[in-house]
Amino acid sequence: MSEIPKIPEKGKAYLGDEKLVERYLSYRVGRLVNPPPWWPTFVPPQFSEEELLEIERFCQKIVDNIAKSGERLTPLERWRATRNFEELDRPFLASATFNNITAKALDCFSGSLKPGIDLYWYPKLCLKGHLAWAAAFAPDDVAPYNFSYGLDAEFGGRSKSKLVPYAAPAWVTPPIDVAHLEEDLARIHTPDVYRDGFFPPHLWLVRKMKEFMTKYGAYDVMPIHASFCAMPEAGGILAGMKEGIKLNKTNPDLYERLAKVVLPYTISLGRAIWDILDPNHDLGWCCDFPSFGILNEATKRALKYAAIVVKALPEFLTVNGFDQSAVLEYMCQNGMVSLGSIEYETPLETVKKIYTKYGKLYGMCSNEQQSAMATAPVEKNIELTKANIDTGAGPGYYFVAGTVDVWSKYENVKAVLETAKEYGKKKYEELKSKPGALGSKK
Amino acid sequence: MSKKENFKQLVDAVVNGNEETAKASAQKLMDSGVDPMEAIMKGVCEGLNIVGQKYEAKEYFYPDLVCGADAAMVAMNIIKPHIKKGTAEFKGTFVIGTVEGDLHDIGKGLVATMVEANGFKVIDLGVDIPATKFAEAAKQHKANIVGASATLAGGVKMEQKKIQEELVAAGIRDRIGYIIGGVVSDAQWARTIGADAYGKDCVEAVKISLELMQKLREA
Repeated sequence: MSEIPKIPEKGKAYLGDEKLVERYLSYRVGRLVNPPPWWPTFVPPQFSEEELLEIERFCQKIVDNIAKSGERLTPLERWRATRNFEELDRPFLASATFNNITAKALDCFSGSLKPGIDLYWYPKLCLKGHLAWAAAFAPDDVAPYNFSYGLDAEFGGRSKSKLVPYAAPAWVTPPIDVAHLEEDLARIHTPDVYRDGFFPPHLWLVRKMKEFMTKYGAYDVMPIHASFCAMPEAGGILAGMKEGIKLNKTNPDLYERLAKVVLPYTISLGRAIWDILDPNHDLGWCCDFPSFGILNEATKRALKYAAIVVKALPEFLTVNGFDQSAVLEYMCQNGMVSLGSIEYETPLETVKKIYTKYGKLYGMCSNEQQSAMATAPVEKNIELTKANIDTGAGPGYYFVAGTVDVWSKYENVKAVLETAKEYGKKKYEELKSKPGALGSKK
Repeated sequence: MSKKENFKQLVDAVVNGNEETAKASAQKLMDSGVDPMEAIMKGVCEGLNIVGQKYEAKEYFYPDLVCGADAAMVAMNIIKPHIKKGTAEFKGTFVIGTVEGDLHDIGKGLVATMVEANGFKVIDLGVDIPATKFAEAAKQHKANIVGASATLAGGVKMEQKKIQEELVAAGIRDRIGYIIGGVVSDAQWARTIGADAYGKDCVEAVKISLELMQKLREA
């Protein structure tokens, strides 16, 4: 597996030789350091009897948690009410966890598993991790995240990535070297999401999750929150992270050429997710490129690709990594926001104000809480959770517990999720008396 | 072109992120015998200051910062060989790198360029650097400040804590400043792990570095 054959000029050399064509295609993805045993062609794993029992138990626990909660709405009903801007009992509690973080549920927060390498090598662990997480912490969804950000190995070319112990694969060499632009552009390809690199295990994970949850009744009461990364505005980073950030300013033509390579990939992965899941039942989310802090021609040039994706797919959430206060209203006015977003740095008050005006959903995943989860006392985490709910509460708001990271302490994760529910209920009870504060009554 | 015009051209090249013009105007300044330190302060630094001001005023965003820093770096590479030993106003030695398990280079590179343009000798260790290497390099180069960037979500910021521990273990922590950066960290994290400060961007990192040097001199 470690010997990567030299990729030939596209279409030459191997015509007429099926075996070699197959071999060539199987290596179209880039090189990967620390590859899974199955790389680059994913073979769906089989389950042992014990594993099937484990999965059944996790699903039963998810169902039991909901039944015993005494809450007026199931997570699924709560999600549907959120989407319809109807009055809720409390905010919808989105996990929005990374795959690797769910390893914490499997190893009892002991830090035994190497979440990046172990879960990405063995997607069954990832499936069990998500279900165990949902069983242990009782959020309102299960959230299988992409195995790869999708803009490196899967596009082939010069790409080299490295699977690191604690995260998704990281770039070493990008697919395109701008110094060999035309040659490299001819060499890369828009990945086939059913075949290339880390996409097949991601789709397998989502499909099996739905299958098992349906079998054991969990899907009747809980939505799946699956991701498809990344938006075509991120296409520039096929030339490397730094070049990618510069390209929209220094070489708009190339930037657009790369966005056009990424566009069909984003749409095909989004469609593949929505072929498995149901937009009226589940959540989809997609990462946006962060360099939109100001509204200028470059931003407008980039965001027109977001509008194409928004039109092409059923509604989904976007993850915005940086403060996009200056751009959000423009995005809303020009069809560049689908269902809504999960924000990292845009102040929640700003997002709430703009999104309420345009009928979008909003949630906040703050870096401050990410540190607090790892190091601060429980009280601090409770305080931050309450502040998030106090600021955000209203029609279209949902709470995002995605600030959990690999180093989060058990007691803090527990406290944040429990506070989001308990304080959320209390807050929403208070707001009930204010007409329209929580949406329309149903 | 007059000396003044050459300076303006260099400043504008950095502000606009134009590497070719930055290189040409830096070369012109050196060819005309301008003091290299003057070229850095009135050309490169002035340009970077304007980039920083525009960023803080939300006229510029990350692409502009990266382009400005790259243009500054190109100009610095032309100017640096002309600096005679002992003539530059030396602010201190700054060891910088991206923590182990993280391959993000941009933020770290921006800070390296900015602090170098502001008079620091920069030892850039690169990306994916184990905590022990930070401490070894700090000791070897007699660093005044160590900077560690962590951007990858999921857990690499714990490496910033390890670096603090390695600096303590190496017995050098009390005489150097330690700054952390990167989107997964924040000021609270800096306080928690015992770092001196968190720099939210390259502009702030320069301010903090200069303040830290002042404190270290006064201590």
